[in-house]
Amino acid sequence: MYKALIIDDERPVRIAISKLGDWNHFHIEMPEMAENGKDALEKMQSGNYDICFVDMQMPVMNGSMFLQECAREFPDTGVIVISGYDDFSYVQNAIRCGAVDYLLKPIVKSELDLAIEKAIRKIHPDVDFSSESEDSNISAEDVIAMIHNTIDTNYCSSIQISDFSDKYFFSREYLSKLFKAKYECSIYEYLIRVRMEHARELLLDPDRKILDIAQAVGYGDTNYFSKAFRNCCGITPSEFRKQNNCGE
Amino acid sequence: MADIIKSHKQNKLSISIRQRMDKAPLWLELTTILTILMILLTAALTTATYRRNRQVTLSSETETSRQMLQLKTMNLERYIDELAAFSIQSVYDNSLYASMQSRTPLSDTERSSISSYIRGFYYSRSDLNSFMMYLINQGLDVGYSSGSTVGYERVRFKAVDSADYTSIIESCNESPNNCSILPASSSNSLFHFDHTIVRVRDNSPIALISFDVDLTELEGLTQNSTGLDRFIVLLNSEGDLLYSDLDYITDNYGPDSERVVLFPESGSSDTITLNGVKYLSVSEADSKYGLKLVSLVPVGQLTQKVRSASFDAVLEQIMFFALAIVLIFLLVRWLTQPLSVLSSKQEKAGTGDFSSIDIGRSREIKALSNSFNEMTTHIGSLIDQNYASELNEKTAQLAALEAQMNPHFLYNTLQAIGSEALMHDEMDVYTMLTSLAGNLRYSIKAAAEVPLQDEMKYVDNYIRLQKVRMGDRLTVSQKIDPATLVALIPKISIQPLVENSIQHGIQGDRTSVKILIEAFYKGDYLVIRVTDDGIGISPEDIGNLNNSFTRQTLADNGASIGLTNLYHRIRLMYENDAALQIKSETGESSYTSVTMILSVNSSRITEVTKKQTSDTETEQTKQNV
Repeated sequence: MYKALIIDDERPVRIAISKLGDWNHFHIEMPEMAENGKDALEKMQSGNYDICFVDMQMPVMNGSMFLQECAREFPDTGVIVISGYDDFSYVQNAIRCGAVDYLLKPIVKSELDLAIEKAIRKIHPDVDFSSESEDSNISAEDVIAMIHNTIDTNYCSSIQISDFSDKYFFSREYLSKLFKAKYECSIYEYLIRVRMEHARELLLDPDRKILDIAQAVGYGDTNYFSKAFRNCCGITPSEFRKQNNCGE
Repeated sequence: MADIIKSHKQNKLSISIRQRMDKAPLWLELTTILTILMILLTAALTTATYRRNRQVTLSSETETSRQMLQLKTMNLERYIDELAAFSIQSVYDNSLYASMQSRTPLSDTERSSISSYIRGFYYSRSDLNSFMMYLINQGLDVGYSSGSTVGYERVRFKAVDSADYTSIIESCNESPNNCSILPASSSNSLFHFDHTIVRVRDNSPIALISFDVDLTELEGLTQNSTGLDRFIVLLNSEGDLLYSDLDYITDNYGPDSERVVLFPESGSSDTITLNGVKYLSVSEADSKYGLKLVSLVPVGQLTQKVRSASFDAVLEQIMFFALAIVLIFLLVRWLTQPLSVLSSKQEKAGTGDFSSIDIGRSREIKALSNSFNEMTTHIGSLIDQNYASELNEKTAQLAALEAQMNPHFLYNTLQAIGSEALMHDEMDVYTMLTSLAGNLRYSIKAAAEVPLQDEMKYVDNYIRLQKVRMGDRLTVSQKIDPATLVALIPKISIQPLVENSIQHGIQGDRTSVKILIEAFYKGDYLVIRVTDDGIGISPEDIGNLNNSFTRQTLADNGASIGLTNLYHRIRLMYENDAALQIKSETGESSYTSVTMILSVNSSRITEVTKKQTSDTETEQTKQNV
């Protein structure tokens, strides 16, 4: 698998490239990010990147400075320049500094794929992309399934939607909406439900302390756990235990 | 009616003259007017001079004639005195005097004595043609003449009737010097001279001396040194013609009652017409014998003289006149030159040249040029101010617009919006956005001509955006010959055709439209045709549209502005090597097709082909993959 690096201080560009690129098809791992040229060079020291996307306008170290550095230190990296400008001299300058291709904002998928292929072929001329791989990019469906799964297995840890939304570049609202549409409850409701189900099971064991149980299902203190449990089941954990114990 | 036409013609004439004058420059008008004035003045002067010259010539001639006549009269008088004195010589001879008084018939002795006297008298003068003595008491005429009729010279004695001489004697007696001068009987005599011898005692006439004077004296009379034809007329006191060297007078001067010629009074002058010829006649009379001398000079000769003198003067005048016209022309040009400079300057000022002028020459002109300079300076500064303020405003507006339309800002913002859509899995929105951004970029790109494939990308984006609005109601198919993809065509030339088709395709009761875009080569021409299945355009509207093509201005009917605009653009770029044809049919199988035909310039294609080769290769590679 090849490695890609997106160097841009603007999140929208990073999102667009990540989402639009046909990474699987080109045997590329999900690209990594850097916010400026300096950052990127540091990252490139450690990791071995095959292609990188660089915005010409960035703080700390701008695109052309980066291009010069990169050409000297990492001549084997295919650089694709991103620009808002469609100025011939500008583009010419970028190509002279060793860029393989350039992309204009807003990024068009077909142009992006062409540029990626061009960059890969520059370093690995004989690579063959003919093998049809499956739909490369993770869809929103996949992500909510992933969230569902994670909740089922990792309910005790603290789970944030932003972890998924940031990783897979979907908005939290979109993911929440999709999740609710699919599982008929929100992500948090589901998480609490899963946690409470586990808590109820654990409460049946009279030897376990409530604090213990609270921590086991991901709550730091009993008060909060009790509140959540009462919200969910209508009674406090201790009442639940008494009822069940009485029943026995 | 005819009057009306006439007055109309006159009006027309005056209008055309006025128009011509409006067009004529000032210097020409001034020169013309001054020239006309000069001509009039010169003509008047010439006429006046001629008249005066003529007058002067006539009066001087009159004076000359008079002086000459006076001289001649004096000479003539002296001559007659001489003759008179000569004629009474016989008185001084006593025997002859006695014979004259004698009433008894003359003896032979007396006769021979008389005849020798007579002969003596005759020969004592060389200017006599005859000499006769009429002895009144005897009734006897004694005469001697050199006439050849007699054959020899001799004194004749002839008894005559006293009645024959009565009138002569009477006229002699009436005259103070007892003599009378009568016309000569023969042509070789000047005149006939009669003188009565009077007895001193009772003052009664006793004899009549008469003789013919030959033409010797005539020489003095007709002597003429003036170089002009001058005719002399000699009249006696009775007004009888004694001599004239003008044949007309000789022939026509009859007795008292028939005198056709009236000569002026003595000492005066007049012009008389004889036989159709005008003469200046001056007469002078001799006081003693009543002789009258008339001088006749043809006026024609005098005026001829004046005329030839005037002709020289006119020639001179014409030369001066020409010189004057040249001077007038130069002067007028010099004077009006500042005005023409001002006028041309004003014309220039109309086109925006506000440079100042200096044409000072006279006070008024100087004032004109000064005020003109002030005016242009003022206008110039006003324009500058206006221009500058407008420019500033525009610059400010542009700067504001630029700040908003700053490409980085714009495309970054579009990218942000697009990414937001991506995060919501809204790929359609993202595509719309990139289509819009792409078309925006394309439409502000500074290029007059683009490869057809670029234009088609633009058209595709446009159709994509339109489809979002229209959905299934819009169907577009394309038949593009791949060879035409690299052909250079005017930027934004196919899109207006598609836009036109969409606009017209869903007119009337149509809600959906099918559009076909074709591009192919036909000979040396690239043909691009866009056809829609709309309700079609009526032949009338096609005519209007074609009219608006031929007009230079843009059409004002909104619907066809796109096409008209496109037509003018391609005509500007290709001149006559481009056309826009509209075909349409209404009714059942209605359609409208607009065909754009552009000449193919091979140099244009190759230029792009090079540039495009790499791209094409990449595309091919991709297809291979």
